[in-house]
Amino acid sequence: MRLDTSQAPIIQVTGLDKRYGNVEAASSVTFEVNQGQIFGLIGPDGAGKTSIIQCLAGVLSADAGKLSIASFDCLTQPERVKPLIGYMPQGIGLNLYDALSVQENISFFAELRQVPVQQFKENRGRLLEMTRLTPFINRAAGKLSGGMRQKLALICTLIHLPDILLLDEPTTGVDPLSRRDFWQIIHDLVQERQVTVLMTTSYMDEAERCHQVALMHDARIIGSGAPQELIDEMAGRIVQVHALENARMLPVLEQWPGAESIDQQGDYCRILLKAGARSEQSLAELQSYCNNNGIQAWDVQPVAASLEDVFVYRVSTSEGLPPIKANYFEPTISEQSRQSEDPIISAKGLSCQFGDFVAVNNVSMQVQQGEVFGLLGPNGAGKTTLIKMLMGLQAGSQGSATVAGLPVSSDNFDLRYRLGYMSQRFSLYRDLSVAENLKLYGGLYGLNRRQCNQRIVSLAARFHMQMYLDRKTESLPLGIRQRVALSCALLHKPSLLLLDEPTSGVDPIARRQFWREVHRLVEHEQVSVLISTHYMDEAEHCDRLGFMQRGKMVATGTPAELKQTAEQFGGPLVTVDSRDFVNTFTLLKPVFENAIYFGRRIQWQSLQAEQALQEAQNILRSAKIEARLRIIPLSIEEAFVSFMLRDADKPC
Amino acid sequence: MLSRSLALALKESRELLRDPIYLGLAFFVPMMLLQLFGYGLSLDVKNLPVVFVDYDNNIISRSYIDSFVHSEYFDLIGVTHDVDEARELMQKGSARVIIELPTNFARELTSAHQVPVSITVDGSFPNRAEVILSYITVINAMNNMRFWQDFAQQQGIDIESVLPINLHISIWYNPSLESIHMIVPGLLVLILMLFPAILGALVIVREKEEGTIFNLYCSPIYRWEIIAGKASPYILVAFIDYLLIFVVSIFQFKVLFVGSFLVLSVAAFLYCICTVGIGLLFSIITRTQLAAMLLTFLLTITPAFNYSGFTTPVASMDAVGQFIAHLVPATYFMEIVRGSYLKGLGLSHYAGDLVAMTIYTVIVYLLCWLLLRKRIG
Repeated sequence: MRLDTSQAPIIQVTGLDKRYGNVEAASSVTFEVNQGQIFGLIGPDGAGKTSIIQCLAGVLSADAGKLSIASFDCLTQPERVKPLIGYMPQGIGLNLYDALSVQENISFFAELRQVPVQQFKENRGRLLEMTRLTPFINRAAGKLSGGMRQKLALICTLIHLPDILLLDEPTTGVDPLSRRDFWQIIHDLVQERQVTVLMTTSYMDEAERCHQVALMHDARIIGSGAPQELIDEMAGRIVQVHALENARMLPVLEQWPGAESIDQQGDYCRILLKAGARSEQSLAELQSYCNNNGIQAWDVQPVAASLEDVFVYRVSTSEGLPPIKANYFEPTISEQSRQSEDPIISAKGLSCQFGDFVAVNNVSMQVQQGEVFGLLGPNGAGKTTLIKMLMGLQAGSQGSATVAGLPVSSDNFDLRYRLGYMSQRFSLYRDLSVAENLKLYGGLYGLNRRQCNQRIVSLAARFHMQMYLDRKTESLPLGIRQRVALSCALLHKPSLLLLDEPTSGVDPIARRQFWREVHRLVEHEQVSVLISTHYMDEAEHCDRLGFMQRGKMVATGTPAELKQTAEQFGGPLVTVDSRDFVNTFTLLKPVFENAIYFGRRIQWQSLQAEQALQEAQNILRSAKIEARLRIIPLSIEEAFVSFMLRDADKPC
Repeated sequence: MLSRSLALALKESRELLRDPIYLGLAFFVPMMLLQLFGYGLSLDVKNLPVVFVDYDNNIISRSYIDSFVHSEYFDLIGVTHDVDEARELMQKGSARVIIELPTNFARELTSAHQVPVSITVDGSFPNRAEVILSYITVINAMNNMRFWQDFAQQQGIDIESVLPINLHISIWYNPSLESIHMIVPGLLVLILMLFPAILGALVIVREKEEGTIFNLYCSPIYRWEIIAGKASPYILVAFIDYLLIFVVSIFQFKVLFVGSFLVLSVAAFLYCICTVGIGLLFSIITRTQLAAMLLTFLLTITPAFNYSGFTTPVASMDAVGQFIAHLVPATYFMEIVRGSYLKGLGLSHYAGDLVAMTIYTVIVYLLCWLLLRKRIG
């Protein structure tokens, strides 16, 4: 079934402007969505995505422009639009009533929308089954896990079978398995009922699952089209380099004139070539440049671009943001020796229970000195509680830990001086200036004025924020605030940095810069880093990872190890790209039960990948469907899902 | 079309019943307040601690002292011969009145001379001090009378012919003049002003804070359906509060009730609709539960306490006071409550008040409907 694109677009936004005081939320935003499309508004927090969705939902007025849904004007006839739409606000299960049970929540939404009884029963049964929530029908919504909440929120949004779904960050912070369920439901609806979906997300990898996307930055759309088209525009412009000299690689490569921007991930760098560069020629130049500068580079080859590359490229060209050069080196004074072999964190059997809720369940872990250890997991997995336990801020019910050479306990103040902590929302004083915030933290950690000022000067230089020192913190962009918070945590030269979701909602460019800084800190400040994140794609930045799920440490290891292990018990991915993806899926699903949609691609994990590929190829050939089949290694997200599935899909 | 309101009302009731804090705010706190103020807020001036400085110390001076002690108004703290000791008691607050009888109290009296008795009253609470003074004046007059009678008898004079005016006093509605009969019904009015309004003030703004308000904003539900669905469970809660307070007032505080329970209940129901609506209005115009709560608290209880006639009758206020009083719905309900408890008048006597309350309620809900926007910002 092909989409009928001859019809008028079902959602139309033309020249939308929206301001809050001096802050622009949308500036001449224009886009269209056709029926049966999954359209993604992609961008970091504060880009203006929510405002657009709220204008469309008829709950926010606009300053200029025209918005329509199914030819009704969203600004002047909002009540005509509302029966047609299902709107899910941002936040995990934010539209749910916590005191009400799953069943009562669903009934309330059905009655609010006056869904006929027969239709309600059918829908409810089906949606509950799809989301695997049937066993929890009598549980209060407040006692569901994050992923389950989000699925229930989706059921409530879908119960009246709306033709248009407006979903605001539906998958942010949700565990990968629930995310997979979520996408399955969306794809099924689109296929069965030609539902139109407009969703927002700050996950770049999520965006590739949409049919069409618009990239948003700073209230403007900086690019739009099918994800593959956008990525194809960048074809041949991304080059990957592996090198042994991890630490020196980045500063050297940044001096190479052919690079537009560089992102280091572990022992390799992804380089975006300058526009107009010819791939083969650049590769040769790059190879010789590395050789001339004493970098042993291998595996220099063009790689596929990602939507994130597109985003970064578009932002840098549309604003002319100067790339931050890595040529600043602080003369380092090595105060603590890093030679000791003791791990910086060593925890045994840590558990923490709140009532009958187990936030951290028998977690043992070790982090070596100088390591960047990533805690990866969805919201509510127990990352924050674990970090607080390691600092002695949260008393556990069981287990013990040694951190930075000291036993962890709530009254161990010496420990605090060795730790630098950056909390989830940066805990800066918004009406103090940057310098005042830094001085306050310096004072709290007992630095004298001279030490403190010296430290501020050097950190301001390191993080390129001299020009912001006298600005009020609240007026700064999220990326700068993040650097200020990091500086606060570093003032007293801690030997371990604990960073709790430091990149949540930050735009990709700032995120890249942040990770670069983290690695540089390990090098120059002799710190080890424990960092938590719910962005799966950030995993590659860590030396070692711990997958957390429902309070448990499901697996630990380097990113490569984890992917390998997951492949051993689940197999690599078989992927099928086809223009006729709907029929392809219908044909393959009965044979390969775990096949899922990933955008327009169909994929599944298989232990006998070669065999599966052959089989699929035969099926498609006999149905005369043109398709490209490949076997690709697992991404970190799929590895996580594999570990979760192996950990048994037992309800909490 | 009622189904959406019913769904909303059902949801509200479930949330209320499952949240111990809201449930407490709905039933426990009002009842607790009734207990606290019912017992604590007495306007009766009784059991006043008095200390006598008796320099004379004989049977006549003691009989004068007894005349005070035997009234229910005074509590004897002590009799002393040292005025400084008495003053100290006053300073400590253990005595409110000092009565000094001079050394020649009995001798002067029996020889038909005027005797100076000096009274010192703690004036920290002016109202109380005035009441104390009038008590003392009356008891003293009775003493005078007694001494005079004794004297007249000795002289063979017929006392009745000498006193020209004889008062025959009867007190209507509250013959024992106990303030409990006035305080507890007044509390009914104040509590039913405050709590339904506070509960109403939270219902919409809570959904705004939690983000669930979008369910209502983005669905085709009408504004009046939202208002009806949100208000109805709390009107019911308020009416149950009314019934509870009524029962407690009759059976625990033993307040006189001579009127019609039906008439009072009709008025109370209307009043509950009105006060929930006032809360709802604040809920609609604010963004946070804290703001809604503070606004409701200040704008309901303060005027109701001062102007509804809870302590001072509206008729004795000045023109401005009376004008303000008529802007407060509690004023109208207070008339009906006081009337029902103590006077027992028929429905027709309250027609004006009921009409005023109805108009008030209609305006409040109309404002709710006008100000409720299915939009943010």
